[in-house]
Amino acid sequence: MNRRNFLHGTFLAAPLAAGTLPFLGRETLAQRTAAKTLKIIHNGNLASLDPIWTTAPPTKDYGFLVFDQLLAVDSKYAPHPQMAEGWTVEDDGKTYVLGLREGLKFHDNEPVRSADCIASIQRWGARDGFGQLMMKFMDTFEVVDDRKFKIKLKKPFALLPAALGKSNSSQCFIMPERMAKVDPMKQVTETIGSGPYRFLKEEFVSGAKAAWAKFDGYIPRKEPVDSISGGRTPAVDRIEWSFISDPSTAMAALQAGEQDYWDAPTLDLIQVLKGDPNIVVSARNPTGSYFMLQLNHAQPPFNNSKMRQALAMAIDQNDFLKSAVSDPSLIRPCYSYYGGDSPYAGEAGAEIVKVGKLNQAKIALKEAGYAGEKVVILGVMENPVLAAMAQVAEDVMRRMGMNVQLVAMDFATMAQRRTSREPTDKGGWSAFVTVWTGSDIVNPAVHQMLRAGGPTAWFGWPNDPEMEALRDQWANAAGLEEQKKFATALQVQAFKTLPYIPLGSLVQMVAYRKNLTGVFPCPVAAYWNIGKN
Amino acid sequence: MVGYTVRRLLIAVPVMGIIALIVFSLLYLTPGDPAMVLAGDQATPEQIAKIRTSLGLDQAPHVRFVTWLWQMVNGDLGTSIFSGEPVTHMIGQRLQPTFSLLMLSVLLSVSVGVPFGVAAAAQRGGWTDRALTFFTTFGLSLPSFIAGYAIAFVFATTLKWLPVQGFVPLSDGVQPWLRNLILPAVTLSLVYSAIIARVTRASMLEVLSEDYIRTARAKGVAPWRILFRHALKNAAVPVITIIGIGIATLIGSAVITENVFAIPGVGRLTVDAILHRDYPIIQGVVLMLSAAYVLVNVAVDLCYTLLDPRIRY
Repeated sequence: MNRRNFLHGTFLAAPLAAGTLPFLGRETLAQRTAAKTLKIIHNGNLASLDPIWTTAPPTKDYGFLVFDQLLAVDSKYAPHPQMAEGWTVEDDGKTYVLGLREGLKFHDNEPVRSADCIASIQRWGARDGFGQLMMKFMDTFEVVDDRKFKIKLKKPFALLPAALGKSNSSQCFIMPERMAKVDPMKQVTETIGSGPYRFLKEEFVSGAKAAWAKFDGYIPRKEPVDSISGGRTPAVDRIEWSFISDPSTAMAALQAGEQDYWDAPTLDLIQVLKGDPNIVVSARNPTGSYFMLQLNHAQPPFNNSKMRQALAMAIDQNDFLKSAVSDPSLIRPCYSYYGGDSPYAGEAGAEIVKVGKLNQAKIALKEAGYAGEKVVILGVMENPVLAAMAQVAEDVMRRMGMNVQLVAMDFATMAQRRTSREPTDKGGWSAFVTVWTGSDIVNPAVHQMLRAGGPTAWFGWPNDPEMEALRDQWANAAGLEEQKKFATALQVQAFKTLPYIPLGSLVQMVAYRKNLTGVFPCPVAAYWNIGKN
Repeated sequence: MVGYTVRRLLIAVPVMGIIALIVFSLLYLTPGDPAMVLAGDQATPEQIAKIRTSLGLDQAPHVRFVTWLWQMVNGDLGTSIFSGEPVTHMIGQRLQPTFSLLMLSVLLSVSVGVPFGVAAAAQRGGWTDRALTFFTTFGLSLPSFIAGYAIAFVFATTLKWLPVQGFVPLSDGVQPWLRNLILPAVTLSLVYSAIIARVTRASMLEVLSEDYIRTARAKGVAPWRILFRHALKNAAVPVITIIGIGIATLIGSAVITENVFAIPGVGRLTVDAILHRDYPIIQGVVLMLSAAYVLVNVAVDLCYTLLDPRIRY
């Protein structure tokens, strides 16, 4: 070997082989541990660590790693035992007896007891919409022993298993009794659950990173995974979330192999990611995102049902969806008040939102007596999809001949302004575009925007006693067929009242490195069962 | 000088008080309700009202201000509305990334800017001077978010020499710490070193035309000695001033750079807090940065006396 070859070999070849500069060599230890660590780019900041206290999606995703549920729904929203061994119904549907699987432990190695489950159900029932509905039927809880308890109802409530096993926020996560006894209006400070991963609180930097370690004491179910039901197996030793707010950086980090999984790639980058042979882009969430034009029923002009109907006739869902994404494979028009995978999905009564004709809408608007009342649209500009749809809404209303103003703002400002029931010239509003997941609109109990109790309804305050009566009838229905009948009737009535105008849905994509295994379809961001080669 | 330093620090106290009042007033006037953001879409008005009460957001503004001021006097910046963690702890977690980035950027900027400015002044009208003009125009006109993307694309995505994003604490080793900081520091330094180079050149040109420099040349003193021993020291006062003022520019640019390179620093903490209306964090961060800026200015003033014996306080 001569001097030149020696220098070339040591100072140039080695770093080039390592793909880096000589003085900045990568750590082999990091490479070894990387194979057991699943690195996730998570959309949104994990701020609160209490999934009952807040419905913020990152907290929900945190909850699914740390906590477990008594029951869990499958891909058809049918409930199955999760922590429970099973359940039986007694006393003509007025008593549910739930037994816990043997050997369930919390992360502090304390056993999961009936008392923990009861306290957790009570705390969840004080905050969650479906939980509150369930609590209206509630009589007493009764501890049979540490692994068995009874839920006694005042009258039958066939939806109880679906409520306990629901997949949308807030889920009925089981916490130790001391945590579950904390006032539901205050955050719990502990992070002890019985789920497949332990939260590493000492490594948590809110807004930057969060980490979990596999919980060795977790006993997964034997059944295959199906949505959030079935075996939740911790397939890696460690999970790390990074909160990368810049989409270009997130994409580059995934492509460079610094991260393994991106839970919410922006729509404009999907094509680039699809072109990378090391990246898989898939629609993991079968439910998708559902967009709605929420209307203010408390103020003119949309306090007049004829005005709402006129606007509905002008709206073509394709115009809205195409404003957000050009890829037609991601667009799914939806003429239903329920998500596409809901057992109640259907187009009954939806004729008015299928018209999509501006001239017809103009005539209807004139007949409704529109006299130039100002329409204020609240436009959330930090979300490109919501911003695009708000602009389309403004355009449609303007072409209808309405006196419309689009007010640009961030989400926090909109969240405050939408609470105002004042006229538009006193800080009120007329419409805004919002988005919910399919799980959030799967049935009348969880569907906030189908509530029509006036002042007690969601922002927009639709007031339709018939809708409320149908919701109660659905809740009291004995079986699925009867539930379907009332849910459909509720939708038909909703298309008359138009609490909001459906704008269609978009497929939600995830992107991950090809060496990941076990990625399964799921309506929530669940990271159990995902391994890494 | 000790008396002067103490006086300057004492003057900073009312300055900080005024800043506190302004920040509090601005936040009070800004629309947005953290209780709404925090409660989520499913919350009822009653639940939101309860959260608002539990956070003390329903209290009168002057009561909230006095409470916050009293906490601050006692060294407590309050707790985050969202995470419930103490603001001092949250800022503490973010200080190392930001401080590392700022220090490396300052070091890089001064190392590049000052020699470049001196060389350009020494060869006025020559190729070095023209190169400086190009460099400073380029550096000053390129927004840091574009520079960041371009640099990351070349050195991280394409060449794969350095990581795209993230921060590794110094405790994990100097190499990984440096690997993650090089690209953001270079991004930040582009503007800063351009400013420093330009001011150094202008200041050096002024000093180089002084009589004592002509005398030194006439006496046959070596050119490098004239430049670095006689001229640079006397030209340093404006350069030190611009380095001090530039810290504020750096802090502003760091917000963007931290975002582009996903560095969990104070800048990102601030942006997230603003978007969520997490008032205690915003107030705490602004006060901390203001205090840092005041201290930098005091340090700059003290540096003058070291460089120019004629300056006395």
